[in-house]
Amino acid sequence: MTTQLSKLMQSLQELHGRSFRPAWQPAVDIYRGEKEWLIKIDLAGVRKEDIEVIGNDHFLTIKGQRRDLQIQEGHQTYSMEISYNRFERNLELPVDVKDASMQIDYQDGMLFIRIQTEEKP
Amino acid sequence: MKELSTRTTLPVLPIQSEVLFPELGMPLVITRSASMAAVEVALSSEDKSIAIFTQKSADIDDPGEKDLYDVGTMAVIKKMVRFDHAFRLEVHGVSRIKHLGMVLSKPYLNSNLRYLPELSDIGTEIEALQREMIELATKMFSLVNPQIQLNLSFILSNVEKPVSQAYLLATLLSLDVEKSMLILSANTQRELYELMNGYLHHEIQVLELRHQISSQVESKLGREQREYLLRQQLRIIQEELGEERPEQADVTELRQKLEKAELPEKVHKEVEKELNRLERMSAVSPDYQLTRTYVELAIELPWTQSTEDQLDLDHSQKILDEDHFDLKDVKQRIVEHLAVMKLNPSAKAPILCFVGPPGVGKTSVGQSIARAMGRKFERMSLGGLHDEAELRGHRRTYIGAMPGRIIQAIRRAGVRNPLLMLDEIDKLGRDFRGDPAAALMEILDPAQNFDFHDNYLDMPFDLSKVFFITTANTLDNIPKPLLDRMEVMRLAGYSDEEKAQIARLYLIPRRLEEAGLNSEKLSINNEALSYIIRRYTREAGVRELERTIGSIARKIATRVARGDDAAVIINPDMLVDILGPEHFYAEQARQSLAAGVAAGLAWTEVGGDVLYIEAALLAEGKELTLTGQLGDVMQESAKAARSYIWANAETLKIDTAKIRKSGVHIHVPAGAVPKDGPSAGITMAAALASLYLDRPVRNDTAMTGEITLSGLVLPVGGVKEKILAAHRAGIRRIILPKENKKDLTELPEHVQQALDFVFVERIDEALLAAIVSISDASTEQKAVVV
Repeated sequence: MTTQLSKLMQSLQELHGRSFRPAWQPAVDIYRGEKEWLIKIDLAGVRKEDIEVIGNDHFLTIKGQRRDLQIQEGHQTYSMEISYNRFERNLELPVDVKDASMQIDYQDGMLFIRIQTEEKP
Repeated sequence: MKELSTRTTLPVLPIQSEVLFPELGMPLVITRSASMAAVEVALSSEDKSIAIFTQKSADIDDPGEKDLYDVGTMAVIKKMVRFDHAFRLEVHGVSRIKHLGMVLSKPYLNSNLRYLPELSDIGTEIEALQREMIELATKMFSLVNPQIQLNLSFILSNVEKPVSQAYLLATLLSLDVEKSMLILSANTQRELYELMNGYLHHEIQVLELRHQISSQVESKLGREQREYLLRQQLRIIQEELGEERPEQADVTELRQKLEKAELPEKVHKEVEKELNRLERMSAVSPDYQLTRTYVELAIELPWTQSTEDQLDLDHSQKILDEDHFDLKDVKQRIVEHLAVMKLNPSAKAPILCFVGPPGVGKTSVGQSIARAMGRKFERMSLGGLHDEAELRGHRRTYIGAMPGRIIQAIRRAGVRNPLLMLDEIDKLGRDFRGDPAAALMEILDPAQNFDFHDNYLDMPFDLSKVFFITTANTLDNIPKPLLDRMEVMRLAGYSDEEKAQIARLYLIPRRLEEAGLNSEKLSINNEALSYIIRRYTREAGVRELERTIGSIARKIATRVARGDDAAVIINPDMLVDILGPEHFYAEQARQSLAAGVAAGLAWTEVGGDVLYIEAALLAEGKELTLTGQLGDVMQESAKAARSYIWANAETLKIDTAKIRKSGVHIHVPAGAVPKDGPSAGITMAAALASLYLDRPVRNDTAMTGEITLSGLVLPVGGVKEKILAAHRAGIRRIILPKENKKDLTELPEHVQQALDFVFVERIDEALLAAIVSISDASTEQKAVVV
């Protein structure tokens, strides 16, 4: 019992404190419109469900992971330039993103985030 | 969102000598087949993850579980390129891992691993440690290279997490594997920072030390390099300006001089050769100055230049007479030589040696001869010279080498036939460095000196046209072979009358002129002059006399300068006021002589002297005692005198019992002056005879002569000086060996007139002439009175 409990505790702790630093950072374009901010993120080949967007005060965090899903039996990697595995990108914006209304689209490998502002920033 | 698998089994990529930290990238080249297989597996996974462990030893080719550190890094392969037998990878560290066990899944290893938690301890102390780390790192990089400092803050700003900064610094420090592994294995921030700070400290110390060393080396090198660079620049600037290099200008100037100088062909060639060498040298090279000085000397030496001799005999005679009183022999010899030169211009110059006491004018007669012959005069003193190289020069290979004094004198003279006076040849020294007298032998030999070889010049120079005159006070110290090469001319001392004449003709006018007076303002009457000569000087020459006259002239000049313009005639009474008390009591003949005292005559380097030899009978004594610093020869002479008296006691009517039963003491004053020589033999015999007979020696008589045991009287030297001294002292009668009669011709007429000379061949004749009662009693006057 004791062993089981301690094992459980350990695995919990490990999960929590696990240090998975991101392996790569996606490229980002930021635009400012009349009443909105538009953020474009290059996330080609990343599945929609593998993307996570978190807003907190003035910070916007986009993170997730790219998986190599086209691994073919009998293929050998000849050369590789695309980064797979975890990515993370932190953006600091002049608006509080927590309360702002946000619209997120994912289309053709690009993630579009629109943040509405009351007036022209 | 489905999490990427946090797989706990990953293929293992062992790496050598490096440690990959989380959040940092690393390029890798993989060649080992097992590693390549592991990478292939990782690449065919959807997350491209691989476990990277560092080998404990870089030497192992096919590492197993035990050869790897158990802490490593889970990494993602970001880029990859395949080559024929290698992969090039770029991996990115993601998380620290610890392997729990490894499985070999042919051919690579698979690791069962555990992800290590992030370092999460916090606190002010941790923060302080972290800041300390950044500060140390900044300091360290500023030591490596000040420019990196800027980059460092930029680099560190890209890494958000302090832990990652530590990992980045660890990579930049390129720590060795063991230290890197300690960093990677650190489980708390405190441990991590403390380790890092330790390493940084160490690194800073090493760097500071290196800086210190390298800056020392630099400052040493710096000066020389700077000088070299500046010289190069100077040269380029000069070329640019069309200016000649200074050394080039030097050579050009020397070449012009060479063309102008009339050098013998052989010498010309040699100098040309040296000049060509000089042209190729840099002015900084130590050889440059050496060669330049040499070339200058060779060009300047008077190889062909000479003065024309003045061959008008009458004119020369006139000049000689003008400059010096008397010295007939010397003047005559010079005129003879001029006559020979007139008839045979290629005649060899004689090499003369003037011997005489100080102050008789040896050097100045040399100058006068040069003037009479129309030659350049150069003189050098050989006194105390003890190094042969001084005369012959040093070989050019030595630092600071110079030509010898002879060549230097010739160079100064500027002609090859000067009159070269070598003073004080009797005071040459000699030591382990060589014997200058031996070198002089070559120089003073007309048969050899036409190709005199100076070590520095290294080319023969003809000295045969040089008129050499040497001077010496005495011949005793001159090596015989050297003396043999020279024609000795004696310049004996002057008598009081001669001195008075010299003073009248030369010294007084000269001194008056020096003091700014003339004969109207100051004159010295004859009595005063002779008083000065007798009472204020005692010398063979006239130096002291000249100084004394100078001193009178100055005293009078002081008076005149103070406004007392009255003409002064010096008479003897004024002398005490002007010159102070008399310096010397003339060696006056003693008025009465006791039995046992006889006047002898001595020769010294400064002239002659009268000395009284005293003998005393010691009742019941036995020995013969001799005092007064007598040399061996003189002591033996005293013994011979006593033995002669003893042996001939009967003839002399001396009671032998007196001789047998008593000792005798002979003393020769002044006791402080060493004396030697046989010439007092006759005087001692006279003193002893007088003592034993108890009859005094005549007080107006002095004597000199060597004696033999059989009673012969032999001739002695220095007769002129001795007679002059006797004359000065007021002696009227002199007993001399018969063979010295010829020397009387050297004496001035008035001295000869003033004295009676008794020439003797045997001691008994001398005793007859000397001792009052014998000579009175004797009816047979054997002595010859002149």
